[in-house]
Formats: sequence, structure tokens, C-alpha cells
Amino acid sequence: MLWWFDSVRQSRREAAGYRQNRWAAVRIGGALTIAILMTAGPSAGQGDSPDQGAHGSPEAPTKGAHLQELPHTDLFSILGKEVHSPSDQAMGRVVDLLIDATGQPRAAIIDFGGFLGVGTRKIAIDWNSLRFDAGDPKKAIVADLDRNEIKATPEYKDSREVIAIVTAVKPKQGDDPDR
Amino acid sequence: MNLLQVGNERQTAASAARGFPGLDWLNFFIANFQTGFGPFISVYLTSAGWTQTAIGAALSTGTIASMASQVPAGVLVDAVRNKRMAATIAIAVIGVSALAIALWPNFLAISAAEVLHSFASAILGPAVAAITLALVDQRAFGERLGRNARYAAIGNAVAAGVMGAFAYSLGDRAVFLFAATLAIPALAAVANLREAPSAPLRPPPTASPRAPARPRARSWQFLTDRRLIAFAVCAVLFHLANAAMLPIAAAAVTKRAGSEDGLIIAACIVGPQLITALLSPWAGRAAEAWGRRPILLLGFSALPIRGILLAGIADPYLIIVIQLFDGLGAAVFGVLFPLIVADITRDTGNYTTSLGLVGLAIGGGATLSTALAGLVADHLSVGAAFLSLAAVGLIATALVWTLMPETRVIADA
Repeated sequence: MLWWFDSVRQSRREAAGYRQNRWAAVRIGGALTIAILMTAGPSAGQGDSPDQGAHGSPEAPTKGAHLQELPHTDLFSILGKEVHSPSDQAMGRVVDLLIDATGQPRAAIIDFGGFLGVGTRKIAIDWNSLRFDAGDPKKAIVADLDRNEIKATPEYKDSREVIAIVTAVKPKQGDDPDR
Repeated sequence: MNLLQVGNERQTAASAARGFPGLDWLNFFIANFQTGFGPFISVYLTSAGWTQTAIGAALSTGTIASMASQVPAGVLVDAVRNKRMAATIAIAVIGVSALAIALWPNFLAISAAEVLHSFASAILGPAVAAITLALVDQRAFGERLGRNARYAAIGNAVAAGVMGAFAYSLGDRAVFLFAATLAIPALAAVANLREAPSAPLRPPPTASPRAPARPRARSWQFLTDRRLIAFAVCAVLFHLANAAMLPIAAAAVTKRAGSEDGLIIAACIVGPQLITALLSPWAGRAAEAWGRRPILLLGFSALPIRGILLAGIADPYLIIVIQLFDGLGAAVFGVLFPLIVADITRDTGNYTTSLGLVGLAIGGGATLSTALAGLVADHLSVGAAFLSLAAVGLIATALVWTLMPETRVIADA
């Protein structure tokens, strides 16, 4: 049981390290509030940021902190939020995110199924199989998968060498305009 | 003593045991509000945006506090003259913990609530057993414990249903607000005990089964009682085999069943409780009539049977049926745990201390069970995990057979 405390200490140490290492203007992720930048329109997010000199633009100071201010509707926290299927079935809550070596999100871990917390399974869902809509709290996160398609996915375990991520098979013609 | 006499005695014992509706309600409401404090807390904290690490740390704090408080709480209840007051305070503290969990889902409040809840629960169980022991005649004790277990099981079943509906329709926080309000009828049930018609049924003071409030000289001699050690060992193995079976079976249901998995798991939880409610009074009566050993063997033998069946059968609906064996084990253990410890420590003033010691053993067994079975399921297979649990259950049954003496004291009229 004591290993929990080790891992808490470990994450605190990491958090402290981030704080000292201040040159990143904004970090995605923190212990409790993971927020993702909403790319609502194709140009909205990408167009604005270079003007504000956030990421390595020539005017930006090479060291020190810079404050970005974004509208509340552009960002939202996903940890603990319910993922729904296209047919509006509740699939489970997001409990963690997996990122790759470049820092891009690859999968959301959801706590799937069960009753009153008994029998839940942690399942990794491909990040590209998720759609986000901050405007509608009921459908804030929708997976292009239904419960039957993900139920048998091997459970996500931190200790496993191979991580299985369930991905939605995309329509052949690519007729989904959101992608 | 002939058969007719046994029958007559059983009848009077049974009617004496039935005389305490306050105890029925007390057990019902305690089980009711305790149901929310299970695995559900992690669902609730997840919805509050907690990380898995933080949830694990808060719940481990609760587990450690629970283990650490078993023996001190038992010693405290032995030392306190007014067991009802102890139960009242414990219920109030648990109600406040539930309220704190509902209102302030931050790390400090949740960890504090977990610790308070653990300590209060460690007081409440032994306190209710001690109150029961003080209220009823020695011959009626087994039957009365059976009724306690029956109403606790009904409380668990009802609470699982109601809380499941609340979580679905009103949100996760509603579950803890509901649990907190249930403390009120529980407090009323304890207060009502005072008015229970206990005086005429209570045996004369000379033969009082009530444990003396303070033994003249505190002796830990009872710790070396072979029967207590044997029972503690059997209890560890029982929970080592038992605790992981439901979670692993439920996870298997989630894997195989589609959208109906929640309902099937609900049935896996509620079904055994109904069996426990049906069988507990019988277990209490039978333990008085035939002795503790045969009933204990029966309850323990349900473990290997359930483990082997779960290893071999994958159909989610059949798992509901196999889980009914859980009800037999729970009925027998729930009744015989306080009964056998009472047999061993009656009139020594160490009753609830001993309950706490065995409680500590049970907690250790249960915690190890989920950890070890989880490892086996990860590295080998779910079937191997069930077979390992079945093997432990078989060893537990064998130990009851070889180590555990009969503890029933035939009360001479």
C-alpha cells in the first residue's frame, strides 16, 4: 500500500520541477486541471497565437513567463468528464490522458462500465476517435464507438509493455467534415 | 436433553430474539448508509476531476486507518460502559463524513472523512455486537445475530438499488447526501433501543452475559487462546479467498456483456444479499442447535465451489447464479464471526477487543486478496485467479476442519 505515497511524492517532485523550469509559456496538463485548446474553427486557434508572441516568435523574451488570456469557452477540463457514444450511451469518465514523445495526446483512458464502482475497466480510446463540443455539456466528449465495440478491449494498465488503444474505423470516403 | 426440549428451547430463544425491532432497524440503516462508502467513492472522486493517483492515496489512507483502528476501537468499546453512546457517536461521525465527502471533494476533506469513517466504523460494528450481547439471553444470541445479519443484508440490497438509481438520475454527489441523511433514522433506531422491552428479557445480573465494563486487571492472556488464533487464521483465509471474487467477476461481466453490464453487476451484488437475508436467521439457529463447526464448514465450502464455477463459466447471466453462493458464505460468516468470538471471550471483558483483532485479520486478508488475485489475473489469466482463490478457499475449509474446535457452550437451564 505504501507505494501510493511514493507515487504521490514522485508526482509532487515532478510538479516542482516543472515550476522551476519556467521557460515554457503554457503547459498543457497539471495534476488536476488538464485543459485542451479547442480548435473550433480551422483558423481560430492557430491564427491568433503567433500574433500574441506565445511560442518562440522573435519578439518573445527567451526566458521568463508570458501570460496568455483565452476565452473560457475555448478551453475546458476533461478529467472526470463523461464520454458518450454517438447514440448517447454513457461510456465512462475520462480518468487519464496518454501523450506520445512529442507531447501530442494519443489516447484518453476512460473508466468503463460497472455498477457503483464495482467491475469498472480502464480502457484507452484513441484521441482521434473522440470529438469535443464544449458548448453542449451532455455531448462534451463523444467517441465514434459504442459500448459493444470497446467492451472487450484489453484493460489499460500502467505496468503493461504493450498498450492497446481502441480506435474507431473511419468511413471509407472520409465524408466526416470534422476530420 | 431430548429433542423435544431442544425444540422448546429453540422456540423461546427465537421469540426472545425477535423482541428487538430497534436492533432490526439499527442494522438495516447502518448497512444502508455504509453502502455508499465502497468502491463508489472512486467513481465520485473521478467525476470531481481527481487524478487516479490522488484517489488511490485518499482511499489507501482510509484502508490504513481502518486497519490501524480495528484493535484500538475494540479496546475502547470494551472499556466504555455505555455501548449505545459509542454507537450513537460513531453513527453521527459517519454521517458527518458522508456529508463532508458530498460537500468538499478536496484532498484534505476526503482524506479526513475517510479516516473518521474508518475509525467510526471500527467502533460501530463491535458496539452493535456488544449491545446485542447485552440485550439478549445467551441462548437467543445466535438467532439474534442471524436477525442482525438479515436486516444488514436487506439494508445493503436496498441501498445498492437506491444509490444506483440516485447516481444515475441525480448525480454522484446525491449518493453521499443520501447516505448522510440515513444517519438520522439510524440515530433514531439507537435512541429507540433504550425503550426496547429489554429489562424483562435480560437475564439476572449473576448470569449476565454482559461483558464487565472494566476487568479488574487488564490481561492479554486471551490472546493466546488457541480457539481465537485458529478462528483468526480461518477468517484471514476466508477473506483472502472471498474479497477479490466479486470485483474480478464483475470486471469479467463488463468485458463480456454490452450495455446491460451495470444491471448484471447490480444483480451480482443484490442477489447474494437476498440469500444472506434468507439464510442468516437459519445459520444462527442451526449454530445453536447443531454447533458452530458444521455451519462454519458449510459456509467456508461455498468458497472453493464458487471459485471453481467462476473459473469455468463465462456467461454473464450464469455468473449471477454462481454469485448466490456468496450469500451463503456471507450469511455464515456474518453470523458466526460475532457468535464464535462471543463463545471464546464471553464474560472476560475482552469481547470487542477480540472482535477488533479478528477484524484486523479480516481487513488484511481482504486487502491482500484483491492485490494478489489482481496480479494473477494480469500475469496469467482471470480463470487462474479464480482457481487460486478457490484453492485458498479450500485450504480455509480444511483449516476449519482441522484447527477449529467446537466453541458452543451448552447453556444449562
